[in-house]
Amino acid sequence: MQKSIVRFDVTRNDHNFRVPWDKRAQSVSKLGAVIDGNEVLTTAQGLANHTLVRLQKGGRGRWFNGEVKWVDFQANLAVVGVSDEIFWSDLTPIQFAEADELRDDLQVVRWRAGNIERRAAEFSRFTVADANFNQAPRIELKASSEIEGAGRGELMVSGAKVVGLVASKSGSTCSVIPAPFITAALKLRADGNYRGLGYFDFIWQPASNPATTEFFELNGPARGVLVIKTSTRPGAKSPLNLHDIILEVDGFPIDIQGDYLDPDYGHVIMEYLACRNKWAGDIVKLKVWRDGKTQQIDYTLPKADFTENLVTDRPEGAEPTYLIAGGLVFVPLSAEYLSSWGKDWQRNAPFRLVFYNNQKPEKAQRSLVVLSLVLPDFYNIGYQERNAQNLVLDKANGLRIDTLKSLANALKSPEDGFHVFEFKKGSALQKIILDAEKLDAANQRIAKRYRIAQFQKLQ
Amino acid sequence: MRIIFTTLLFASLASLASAADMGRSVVQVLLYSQTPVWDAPWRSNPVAASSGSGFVIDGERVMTNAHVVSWAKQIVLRRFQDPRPWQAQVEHISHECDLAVLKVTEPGFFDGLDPLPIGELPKVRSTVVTCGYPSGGEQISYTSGVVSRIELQNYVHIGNKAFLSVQTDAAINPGNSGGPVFQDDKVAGVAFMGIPGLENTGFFIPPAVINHFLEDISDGRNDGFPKAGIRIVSLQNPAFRRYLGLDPTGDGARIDSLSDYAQKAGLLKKDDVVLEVNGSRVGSDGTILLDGNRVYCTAVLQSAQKGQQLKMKLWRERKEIEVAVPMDIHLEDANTGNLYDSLPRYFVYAGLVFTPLTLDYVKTFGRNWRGVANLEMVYELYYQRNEKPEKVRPEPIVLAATMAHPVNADLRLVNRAMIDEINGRRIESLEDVIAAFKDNPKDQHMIKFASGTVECLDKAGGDSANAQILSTYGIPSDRRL
Repeated sequence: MQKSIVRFDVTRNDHNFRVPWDKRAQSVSKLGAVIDGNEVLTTAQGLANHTLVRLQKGGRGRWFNGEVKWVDFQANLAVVGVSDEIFWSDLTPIQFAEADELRDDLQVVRWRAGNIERRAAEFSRFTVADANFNQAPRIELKASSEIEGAGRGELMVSGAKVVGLVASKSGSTCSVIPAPFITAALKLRADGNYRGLGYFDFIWQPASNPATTEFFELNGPARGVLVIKTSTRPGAKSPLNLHDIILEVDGFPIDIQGDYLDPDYGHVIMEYLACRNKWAGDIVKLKVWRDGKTQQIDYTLPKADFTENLVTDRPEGAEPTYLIAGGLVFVPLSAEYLSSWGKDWQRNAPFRLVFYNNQKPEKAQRSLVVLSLVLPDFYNIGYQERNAQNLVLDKANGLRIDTLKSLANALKSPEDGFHVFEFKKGSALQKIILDAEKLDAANQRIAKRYRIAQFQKLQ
Repeated sequence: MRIIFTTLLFASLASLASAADMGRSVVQVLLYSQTPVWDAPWRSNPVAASSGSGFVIDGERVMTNAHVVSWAKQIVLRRFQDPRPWQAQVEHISHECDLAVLKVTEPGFFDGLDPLPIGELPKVRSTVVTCGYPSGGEQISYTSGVVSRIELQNYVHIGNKAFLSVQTDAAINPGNSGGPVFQDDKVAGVAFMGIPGLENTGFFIPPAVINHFLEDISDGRNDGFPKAGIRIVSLQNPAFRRYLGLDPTGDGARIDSLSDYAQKAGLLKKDDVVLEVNGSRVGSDGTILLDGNRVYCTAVLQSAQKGQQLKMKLWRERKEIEVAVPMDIHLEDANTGNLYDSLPRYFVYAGLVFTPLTLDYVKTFGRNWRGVANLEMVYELYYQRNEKPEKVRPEPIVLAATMAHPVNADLRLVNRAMIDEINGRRIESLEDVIAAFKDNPKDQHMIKFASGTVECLDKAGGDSANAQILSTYGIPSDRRL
């Protein structure tokens, strides 16, 4: 194994979405595994906004420059190449385990202080990961181990075969991306056919209450789940109807908890059927109960891409965008912005902003722009109080605002020498006026005083 | 120096002497009270004992704080150095401004007790003396201090309203509540609250608020404080002032938003600049000058009684205009404040307990209720009215609890959930819930929650289990309306 496992040292820019012009260099160390074709496989974590990727083999000695050749943050996988041939001498690719080889004699392997460290691990179960924000369902192998500080791409092995990469560890439980998922993704990538992960965009509830199934006239034994939202995607047309009962997915019967019996992984939640040998764009066959009879439905898996949500969720690694007008800092209302309140953002971020995450975009306003903070300058006196923070823009100079671009555009046409900002009904402050003529001078002064190199970054 | 010092000493002694005389008219209020359990609304919490202070005012009445006598089961008064208990009743109570007036029917109580006159708003830095029966002893207690500042403060008893309030460094402790604060030989306020964590800060209710309450109840009814339904914000940005055609450094604050009713009335408009309210000049930060203190102009808006008109001088479309704004009582936000003295409404069907969504209800989730309550609940309670008034439910209803029984045992969502529809009927009040269950032609009842989750109940089973569930769980009646 020591000829197949390498160390990474990644330098990246960490962004603070509440101070969007601020970049902080961060260094991440992790591990990876040599795969066929002179490439190294690792997790996608820590690779967003990387500025330098270095690799080291043998646990000591020289570092080589690497290049990220492929990364999918939804799948949490990345492939890194090294152009220097010397690196590849005496390295051998790993061998992945098959689905029926994932449970026994597990060990976590990594480099530590120049030596290979191996720690025993014990298989626990397969589960579909809970998503913090928008995320495609991911199957994870859970195993317990005493190894300290794991979760940076260490290899989980069984004998000579690799069972998966350790993506995270909480308490003594390691979450491992299992080998069959990795090999399927790598194969599609090799074939030039990788389409990314799909997901179910509908919301269901367990149909465990017999009175509920009776109400929807489902006869026979208790089974299936009840659809309570046909699609969470903006503007999507779903083949499902509200209150359809999903009985089977790709031939697997769904139980009243919403689980099915997977031949490889045991009882897991049906969300995983969006990923079980399926990828974005593939068709999943649903058997549903509708209007007193069963019906077959072809459901096309949407790509796990949430950029069109009202609270936009841009691909990881996209730099924060912003527009500063006279010290008013405008940012898109995004998943990253809400996440800047930390893991518990649902509780800690301003309630009104969090609630937009439950709402769908409207035709006139597909996304939202927030006044996130005010950089004090006498030009913006009167707007520096707390009530002028985290307000969502409705219009600027009479134009509806949905993106920073539309805001930049609106700022080109002031009304009689004034910029008029109107915030959403119900906001703690609904209107702000700025002097249009003095805006440029104020921008220069504020950018200089607060040492901001660029007062806007729209893309 | 010496002479001045002596004079000062004399003056302060004189003030204490007169306070001591007036102290005869200060009484101790002993309360037994019982509050309801908001998520099991037929139940009550254990009876609690507490005490406060009060004082005699004209008309053979005793004034105290509303919070001293809320949810009263028994009110007993004790006179100065008189061992006898005297029973009292609440005559009028205003939970908004935390004041109450008590009556004593037993003859003789007021013998020898002079009514205390209500004086003027004291000046900042002037000396005041508090008087009452704070904890830490049995006898009447006096403390003195200076008036620290005067401004609008949130009144914690109601929780969602701010009124004029005077801060002092005279010690105000539990039990002082409802007692008078003296200046010279008059009452300058009613002691009512402190702020935990702040030292040497006590607050008292100033004469303007006391007199408003007394005038309000003089017709035998407590109407409350009317509202104009406007949100006034500072207007200090020079560009905004020029945009409205005003001098960049002049007076006047801006109406930023209007409540639904003010919008409909049409008298006041967004971007109106309030220059004067009842003759008081409004500064660009929204404050007026009140007896030498700058306080937020809401203090003047609150001086009106129900049905009165308030004169406002406005700047609208680059012209000065005058309007007379009718001031009315609007209780639309009552459920976001603490509720008192009337027991919670509820309806129980098949063990499912329905009750209105109120602040008191969500507080049963614990101090951190905002993190526990689901988003729809918080939105309905605090945001819907301002954002989509047309969608507001007059009385949003929650499923507070489910009393377990085979008929409801298969429900997964059993409490802390807001109701959207029952049997296809949009639920806007407890009466809607009752009607929806009653008029259902189907074999199952279908409850749709605000989150979209659906739960059904067998109708025949529910109907027949009702009485048994009530008796099993000791619920005296299936409803309180």
